[in-house]
This record gives sequence, structure tokens and C-alpha cells, in this order.
Amino acid sequence: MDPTSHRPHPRSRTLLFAVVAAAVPTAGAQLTICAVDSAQKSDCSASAFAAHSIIAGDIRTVSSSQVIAVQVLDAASRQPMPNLPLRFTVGGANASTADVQSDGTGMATFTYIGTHPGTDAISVAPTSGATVRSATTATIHWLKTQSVVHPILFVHGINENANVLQRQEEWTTLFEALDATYERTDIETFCFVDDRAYRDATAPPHCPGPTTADCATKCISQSSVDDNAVELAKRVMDFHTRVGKPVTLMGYSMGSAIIRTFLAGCPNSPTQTDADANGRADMCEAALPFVDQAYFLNGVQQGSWLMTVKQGVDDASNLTGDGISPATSLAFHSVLPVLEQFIFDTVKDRLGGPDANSQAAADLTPQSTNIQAHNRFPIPSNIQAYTFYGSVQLTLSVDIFAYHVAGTQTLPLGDLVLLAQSDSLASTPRWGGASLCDACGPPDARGYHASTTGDQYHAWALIDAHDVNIADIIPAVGQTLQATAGSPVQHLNISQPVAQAPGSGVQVEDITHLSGNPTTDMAYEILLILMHHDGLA
Amino acid sequence: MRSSHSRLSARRRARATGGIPLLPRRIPARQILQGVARRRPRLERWPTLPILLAVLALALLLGGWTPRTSAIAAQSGAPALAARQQLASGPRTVARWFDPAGRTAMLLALLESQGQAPGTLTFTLPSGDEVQAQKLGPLLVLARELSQLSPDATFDVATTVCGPAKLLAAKAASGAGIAQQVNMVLGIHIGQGGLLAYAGLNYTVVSPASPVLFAAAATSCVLTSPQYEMKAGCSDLKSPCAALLTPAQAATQYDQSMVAAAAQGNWDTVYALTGQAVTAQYSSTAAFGALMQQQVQRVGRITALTPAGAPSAIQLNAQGQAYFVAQDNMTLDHNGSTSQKLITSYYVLEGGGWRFWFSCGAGSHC
Repeated sequence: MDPTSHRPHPRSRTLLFAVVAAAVPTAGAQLTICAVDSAQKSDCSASAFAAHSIIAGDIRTVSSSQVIAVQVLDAASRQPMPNLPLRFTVGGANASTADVQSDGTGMATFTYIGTHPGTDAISVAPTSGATVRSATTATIHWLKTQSVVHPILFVHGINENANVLQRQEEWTTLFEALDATYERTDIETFCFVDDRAYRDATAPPHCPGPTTADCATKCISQSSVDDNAVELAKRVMDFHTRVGKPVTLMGYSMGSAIIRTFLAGCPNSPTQTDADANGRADMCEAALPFVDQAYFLNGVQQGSWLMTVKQGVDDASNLTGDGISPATSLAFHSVLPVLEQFIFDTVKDRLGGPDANSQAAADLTPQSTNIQAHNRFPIPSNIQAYTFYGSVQLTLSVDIFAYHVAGTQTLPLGDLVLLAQSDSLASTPRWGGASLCDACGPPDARGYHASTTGDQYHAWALIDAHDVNIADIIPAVGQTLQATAGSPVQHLNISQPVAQAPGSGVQVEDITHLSGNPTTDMAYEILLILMHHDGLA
Repeated sequence: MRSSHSRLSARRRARATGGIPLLPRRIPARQILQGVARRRPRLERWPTLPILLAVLALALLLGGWTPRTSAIAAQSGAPALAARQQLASGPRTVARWFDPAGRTAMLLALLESQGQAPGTLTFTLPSGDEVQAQKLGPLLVLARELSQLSPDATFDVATTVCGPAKLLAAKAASGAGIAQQVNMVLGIHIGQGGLLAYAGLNYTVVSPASPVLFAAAATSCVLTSPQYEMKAGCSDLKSPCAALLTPAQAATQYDQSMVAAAAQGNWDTVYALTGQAVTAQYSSTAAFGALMQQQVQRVGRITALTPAGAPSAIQLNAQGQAYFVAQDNMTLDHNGSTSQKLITSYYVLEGGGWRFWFSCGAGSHC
């Protein structure tokens, strides 16, 4: 029922006018769609909507069902709009429509079964002619249930736990996509030599056990990149022996650094004697032929500026010459000290306290011995390299009395933990970097770039642009800068549904042309590339 | 597949990069310290005692406000600035100077800060590379003096420092040249409360094979024909530094240029007095002027800017930035309709002069 059509009894008009007026949609309806997905802990409850912890998409297997919920609010009063006739429209592989009505809390749900593989775009609109102020959409990827044998090994980041698959708190979308197509038992996670999973007794199968007897205190996932690279080589050999097919590696953050060192043939093992080092390097080189693809997800390729700060002054405001230096970024000169300190403090708190004195921290410091060593060797040409890295881009606007001066220059902040920096394999920028796309062309408007000759390197800058008024940085950090720190492509957010789920704001160019759209979400793109390699598309 | 030989060679090379021996530390033979830091006498004319005590108490409560500032506010009878409670003041851990024209910068660590040694000097070259020196005695002395210096103090010091330093590349293309040892000759001239500075720099890359170069440089610690200069209010080692306008003078100057520009459409003066946050984004006065004219058409013409009390004193935040805050009553004429609004604006020290930084717009935290 349209609440505006309600006519109160004349005697109670005054009182009811006040009540009805509060519910009349003065600014139109605000419709927000949510996809129910237990794997990503998205129940689309009213409290989830209130907390903005909803996702706008899901990955499902054909013949299963998908529940879509919508919340309808008055855009002005933020009150629920009950009893509003609505139509869900599914476009794409499983085109259909369904008419529903919002309940007393302004909520409505729609369940449908996907019968065709492909992608659906779901929208919802009132059928009563009510004004719509805003409406979101949802994306569902439908996959054929398959159990393709293709060993996939995921390498987590510093300070993390190898039981990431079982825990289902990070990378849930990616694993959901892989799990639908590939044999579940052949998707494994790598254990660091000092993995937290050992300490917690939650190590996944095939992890060989810690290298230290004092695991209760020393298993903190902060061992050296070199040691883990050698361990990774052993694991690849073992995996290949068990499955009989080349292994695909996926690494997040420090996991990417471990993969990179392994792919370079473990050229540097400073804690070992030369004889040991040769044996370790030989192990790595022997395992290299059994790798087919490497995916770097916000990976530490050239180190993190945070580690530089940790190793030294622990005071980001003193950073100059940081690749975004005052001398070369004049527009940002006056805000850089405060901006860098804010980012440092924000990210440091969320990193969970890696030990600045650990071997991992030393290896992940820009220009470290580890980085210089692995930079000397290219990735073997038989291995395809796919790099995804966060690219927060800040513009700075200024108010001059009544006049607003929009920013025209962009400050590249990477994923805040890792600057993007140079694509080159051999580069060692002083403040580190995450990009890796050797001999590639410049990124296109969507951030994608690839080898100019051959097909070995592909990279996607996950661009997220923010405009911040200088008054929101100086004298005190305000909401818009806080929002920048919460970007979905921020280093610590990239593993979460806000960045991964279908329909999220993080979209990448689909180089396979299999999604049916120019862009798609990151997890789905990774799946499509794998499927393309495996001839499944 | 690479050969074991090539791999081993690379491993050896990797280990060799970290082994450059440090040169012996030298204190320059000659130090020329001109002038002694001394605080300017307190105001000669004091307001009545009760008012002074009240303002003093408020200043102490807010933290970081000198009695002199409060005295000025009390003398003028100006209302306290709304922004005062939000000023990000703190101990001055670093001193920072910037030469936008030369694209050079200099930073001197004043206090121990999480392991950063006082006296550490960083000179940023136009390329973004840095020359960094530590543990050179005169720089430590200078840092100690500046850390205790009020921004309104009379202060004029010039010295030449020689010694070992590191050249840090902002972006190294390869493993080579990540941090090179250099011999540095640095002339520094610092004036007016440490707000203004000049620095001239020469450096020579030290070859591990011939470290004698430093000894040669140290015996004649004289700066001649500097390779790089940083001019932030002082132009050389000897000439007097330019006089810095008071906050009130600087704010009034900007106000007047703004009103004139809005009336006449010539934005050159406003552009010249505006900070790099704007001018580096609109690199010509023409582009800036066109934008401002659009804003005048859209928002209205500023016909008057009247100071609402005295500006704040000069502030130095923990990041070494000098700034002050001013408030104006702005009169705006939009299609014949006049409105007034109280505007808070910040001014920042750049290149040895006060530049307009920003105004606090709607929704900001100012």
C-alpha cells in the first residue's frame, strides 16, 4: 500500500498527520540488495544492513538456489518502507522476473535456482511507481559443478595462519570459486616453517611440521622468506608427485615474496653455509618445472615502506624521498608528513603486530638482501605471472574562502601497505612496491597492463580513487581520509568480501573475455584464467 | 635453466653489496657560528593582570600556546579562534624547509624520536634522491638549539659542515647504487626562529678504492659553487634572510589580493600568495584564474574580507610545519544578493614565505 494514500479520520488528523508525515517517502526509496551466502557470513539480516556488512553477489553452482534480499528505506527518514510492491529482474544467463512485496521491516526476499552457467545481474524496482532515490544491483556467477584436477597451492601472508581454508575468514570468495570447479582435495595451503597453524595445532594436511622444537613461542609465521621459499619448493615437488600435474601458486602479501624467491631459484640463503645454500637452491630449481602459473595478490615484490619505518625511526612523518617525495610531488608536500603518519598508524594497528626484528620483516624491507638477490633472476618463461595490486589514488582539493579548487594531480598510495611502484623485475625502489609486470606496457584506464611481447606477465592495478579536502587532513584527520584508509583495495581488506565478492566495487578487466563483460570481480577473473588455461571455457 | 655457476656468482655479488666499510667520522675543523639564539623580550605593554591571567590559563590549558600569543589576542580584544582547540601542536621533533622553485627540501631531526638520532640531516634533491648525514657535531648542536627555539625568536646562524653522508636513491633501477657513500660539504644559514633557511650542498661519491677524497674535502671545509641549493627565505650564507611578515600582515595581504582579484579578474597576486597544494595542481596563473572566475560566477564575488580578531601565533606541529590560523568575516555578492559568513583559514610557511593553505569548508573538521 502506498502510505501517501492513507486518509486519517478528521478528528485524529493532527496526530496522525505527524505519524504519517514521518513515514511518507519525501526523497524516494533507497533499495539495497544483498546476496545470502553462508560461506561469506552474509545473512542479509536487518542488523547486517545496518552495519553495512552485506555483499552484493555470490558464486553458486548450477542447480542450487540463491536467496536475494532487498531492504527498502525512505531515503530521507531512513525508515523502512513496508508493503511496497517490488519486482526482481534477473538479467543474464538465467533471465527471469519475480514480484514480491516488502514486509513490515521494509525487507523482501527472492529465491531462484540457476539452471545455466554464466553471470546474472539482478536488479529490483518498485512496481507502484514510487520514486527511487537509489538502487543497488547484485551479481551471481553460476558455475557448473566440476572436479577438475589441478593442484593449487595458496601461500598466506606474514603473521597469518595456514588454516585459511578451514577458517573461512579470508579469501572466501576466491576459494568458493575454485572449489566449485576444481577438485577440493587439490586446493591446499602452504605452511610457513614457523606457521601459526603448527602452534595452534590446526595445520592443514600435507604440512610437514615446524622446523623448530620451540613452536609454542616461535611459530608466529615470521620466518625468513628464503627458508620458506625452499620449503615451498619441497611442497611443490610433493604436490606434483601426488597429483601428477603442474602446480599453480597463489600468494598474498609475504606469500608472494616467498613465491617470487622460489621462482628465482632461491638465490640467496644468508643463514646457511655455502654448501647448504647450493643444496637449497638446487631444490628450488628442481621444482620450478612443476609450476605453471603464479598469482600475486597484493604481493610484496619490492618490499613494504612500513618495514623501512619499522626498521628505523618508527616515525612516518620523517619520511622524505619516499617515491612520493615533497620534491617531486609539490601539491602534496604540505600534507605528506601528516598523511604518511596517519596511514602508518592506521595500518600498523591493523597488521596485528609483526615483530620488527623478525627475519621476515628484514626480508620484506625494501632493498633487502633477499629482494636484491631474487631480483637478479627472471621468472622462468614457462610460468605465467598474474599480479593484482591495490592502487589507492588520492586527489587533494582545497577551499579558498568560498571557492572550491578541485585537485588535478594524483598521489599514488598503492594499497597503503605497499606502494605500486615499478613494474620491472629488477627494480629496487627505496620505498618498496607491489607491481610486477616485466617489460609491460603502461596500464590502461582500468589499470590492466601486460607484456608487450609474449604473454608471460599480466597485471591489474585495483584502482580506487579518493578525493580528500585538505581540511580533512589538516589540522585533524576527518571522515573522508578515514574512508580512504578503509578502501576495499587496502592491503588488509583485499582478502575480504568487500573487495572479493561478485558485484563489489573492485572490478578488473576480464582478459579472458569469458565473463561476457569488459570487467568482472577479481576472484572470478582468477577462476576464468585458470579455466582458460585448462580448456574448460 | 641457469647454470650453478651463474647462480653462485650472483649469490656472492649479493653478499658483497652490504659490506662497504664506513669511513671514519670526522668533525669539521672549522665551524663558523654567527649569532647566538636569544629570545625576543616579552611584550612591553601588558594588559590588565586579571585578563592576562585568564588568557594565560586558557593558553596553558590548550597547550603549546605561548604567553605572547595570548597577550596579542587579549590586547586586541579578539574572540578566541574557533579552530584553536583543534590545532595539532606538539613537540617540534623535526625542522623542515622547502624550496618549491628549486624543488629541494631539507629536514633536520631535532629530538630523539623512536630511534631517530637528533642532528640527522636529510637534503632532498630535485630528483627525489636524498643526501643524508648523521652524527656530525655541528648539526647536533644546531638541532639542540632549534628544538628549544620559539618561532618568534631572533636567531641567525650560519655554518659549514663537512663529512660523510649517504646518497639514497628514491628509485633505484637495479641493485647497484642503492645507498652510496658520499663526501658532503653543506653550508647552512638559518634565520628568524628557525623558520627561514638556506642550504647549499656539494657532494662527491666515495669510491671504495679511493676513500682519500674525504680527507681532502675535510681539510678545506668551504662551500664553493654549490651543486644544489635550498632557498627558503634566506638566499645564501651571508646575506640577511628576508623578513617574514607577521601572521596579521600576511593574512591581510591575502585578503586584499583576494578581494581585488574577485573584482578585477586578475588572479596573479592571489596565485603567487597561495600554497603549493593549489599552485602545483594549476601550474599556470591562467588556468588558476580561469577556475577562480568560474567559481566567482557560480558561488558569487567576494566583496570584503574583514579579519575577525587577530590570527593565531605561529604554530609548529610535530611534523615540523609552521602555520597559523586566521578568521575573516567574508561578504559575498551573488547576483546582487549579499551574504556574510565567518571563514577560518590556515596559512603555511613555504619557500620562506607565508602562503595561503586552505579554508575550512562545510563538513570539515576545522
